[in-house]
Amino acid sequence: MFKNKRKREKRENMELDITSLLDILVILLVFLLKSYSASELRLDVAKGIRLPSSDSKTMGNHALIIQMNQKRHIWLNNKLLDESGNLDKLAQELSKYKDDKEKKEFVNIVLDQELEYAQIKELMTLIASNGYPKLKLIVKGDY
Amino acid sequence: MKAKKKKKLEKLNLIPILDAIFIFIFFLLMSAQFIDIYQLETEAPVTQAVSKEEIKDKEPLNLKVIINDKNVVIKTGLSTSKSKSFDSTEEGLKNMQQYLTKLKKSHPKEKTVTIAPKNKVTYKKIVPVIDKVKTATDKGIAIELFSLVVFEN
Repeated sequence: MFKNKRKREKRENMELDITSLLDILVILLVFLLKSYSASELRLDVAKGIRLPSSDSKTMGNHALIIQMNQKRHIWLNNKLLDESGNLDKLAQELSKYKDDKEKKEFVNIVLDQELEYAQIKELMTLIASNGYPKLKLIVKGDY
Repeated sequence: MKAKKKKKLEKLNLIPILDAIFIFIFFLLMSAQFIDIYQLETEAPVTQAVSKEEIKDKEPLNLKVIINDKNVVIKTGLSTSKSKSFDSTEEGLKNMQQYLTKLKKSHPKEKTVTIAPKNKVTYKKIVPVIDKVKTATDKGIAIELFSLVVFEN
């Protein structure tokens, strides 16, 4: 009888109070729900790129992602292509997608807000001449 | 003895809820994006041609927005072109949007706008102009203005 009582005491001591943990999780849930995005575009903005703010509310779509920072470093789908501002490597890479069956007629362009239009035009013309006439400019939501 | 039974019933088993929340958190973390990313649809630099039939029917609006460093000039018309200048400030861009809303009302079928920034103009000055050219809000209702944005070659 005495032994049984001791056993029961031991079991009761092993119970954990998870209420405080649950509180934290619920708070975390609220913040995660706030940052939830229904957009199908998953984007890792390359180093040194500051996106311009826009009033646009159009969600991004999945496609090729071309990024250029202020120093004219170029990325294609998160892979650094060139650090000298030369667009030849990009043209070569884009030509590889010409016969791709899943190829879309648009690309997502991520540009630094300080880039000048002369540089942007050069990039856009090259992309268009490689079979992508529609360009989706990726911007940051305005608050 | 009865009192003991009551106490046991009061305790809630939170473990299944905790399990569900953990799974939920995993999916939310996967889909979380800590900066709001949106897109602006545009078309690459092109040279546009207007057919003679189009001109016969009704002279097209031929809307062109020239972005300079300190101002934005709006040009319309083919044979007789009109132009109007606005400051690049927020106030100036709002006035430009009102002007474009009037233009849209007089040419409801027109959707194309040609954007022609000067070479030295930075990207952050081009984006707000595209925003204002594409949509406007009238008494809290969003109005589509010129949704097809084409860059001039």
